[in-house]
Amino acid sequence: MALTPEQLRTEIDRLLEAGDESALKDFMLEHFSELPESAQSEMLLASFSDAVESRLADAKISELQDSALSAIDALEASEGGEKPRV
Amino acid sequence: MLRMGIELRKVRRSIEEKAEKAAVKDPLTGEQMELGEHAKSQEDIWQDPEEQAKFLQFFGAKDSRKAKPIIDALENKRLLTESQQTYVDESLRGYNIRRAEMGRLEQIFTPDYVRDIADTDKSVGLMVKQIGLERAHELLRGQLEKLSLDDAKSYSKLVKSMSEERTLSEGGWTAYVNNKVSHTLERIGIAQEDMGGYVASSLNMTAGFDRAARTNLESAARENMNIFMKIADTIGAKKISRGRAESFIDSFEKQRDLLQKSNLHLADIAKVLKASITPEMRQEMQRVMMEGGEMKGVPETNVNTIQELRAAREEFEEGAVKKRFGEALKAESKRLKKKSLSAYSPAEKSAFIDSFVDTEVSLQKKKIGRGIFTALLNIFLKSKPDIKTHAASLWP
Repeated sequence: MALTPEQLRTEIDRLLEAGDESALKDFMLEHFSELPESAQSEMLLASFSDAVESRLADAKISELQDSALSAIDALEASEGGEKPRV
Repeated sequence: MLRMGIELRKVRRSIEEKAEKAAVKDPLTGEQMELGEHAKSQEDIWQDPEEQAKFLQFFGAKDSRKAKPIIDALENKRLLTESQQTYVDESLRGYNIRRAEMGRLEQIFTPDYVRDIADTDKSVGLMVKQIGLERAHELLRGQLEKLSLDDAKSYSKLVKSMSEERTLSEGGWTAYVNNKVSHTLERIGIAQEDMGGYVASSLNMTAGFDRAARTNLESAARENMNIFMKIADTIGAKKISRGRAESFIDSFEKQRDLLQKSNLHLADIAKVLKASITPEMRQEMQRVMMEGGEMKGVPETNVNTIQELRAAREEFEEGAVKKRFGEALKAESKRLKKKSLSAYSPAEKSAFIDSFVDTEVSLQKKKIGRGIFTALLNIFLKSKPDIKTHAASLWP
């Protein structure tokens, strides 16, 4: 159910006083479309930036994995390559 | 004397033009870029109300104290002084560069890109689901444009990350590598079903993530990153790329001695690879990378917890603003040697209120939140017109 701006503010104040960040985040996400446009824009950009940075970090890990795979190939191809014992 | 002054100005302008040309870099490729259609003249900008509003936003964000008398002069159709005109010229060049960069960004920042991010990020996904893809793209585009005008450094950092991420992730490369890792581990005799268990058993974890388990996970993620970096060093490529890895295989004979000298062997690498495809470990490794400095998120934030948000809210509550107003007025009266408020002329009163509002806005701008806190700050902090109305009501 959509909340009025006053109801939104009251609930945000209540969660803020309760100090529960996780509940506050869930509430903000659940009622995202009811937030003022400027707050929506700020929240969207912040989450979008974090997601981009996180995906970039993930892609860089893939680069490292790729290098590790190359190292495995190289070790396997060498005469003295050890078999894995994990 | 006058002629010498004109010549000096020409020389200075020529140096500035060279510097300007060197400064215009393509945000996606880092190569030199022409301004082209984005090279707007002052006349172009004054004739277009939308463009004028954007330019004034950029102009004000650059240096509000310097900008204010110029904007006043322009509004009242007064001639600018030579130094003011030079400042407008410089700002216009900066503004045109931002416009050109934004134009380039639009080539990768499309609704499809936003959808791609929304598909992989839960929070962005929930927001896009509620307001629709087109609207989300529109809001983000507006925010990116605002960021480009207000905070060039953060904007450039974000654009660079977007461009780099897009290049690296193109064609599902990350998923491809993960699959390749699974197949390789299977091929060399490590069953996929063992993989998930590896992290848990090596960390002596039972179920869930209590505080101790989280600490262990973090430390193991760092260790894995260190081993990865060792592999990178062993291969001899500071900046790893697929091309580098391929060329490494080609020149294997030359590299074999180097590899054998290192302490890394197949089992070590396989262990790290196993960990790298475990979701929990992968997430921690991402975090380690993001905290590594170079990849740290933008902008720098200082409102990241409920406590910090409460403190920021209290700092800008009406009572706190009223107290700062009283202190500022007392200091101004002392500076202007005013014995009573009735001695202020309307212009002096207006100048004081404007200056107080600018200071409050500057203070607010220093509060930068992360994630939901950025939206909550936006809800709690007043807009500039509201601050002005409040400040005017505080005049005794």
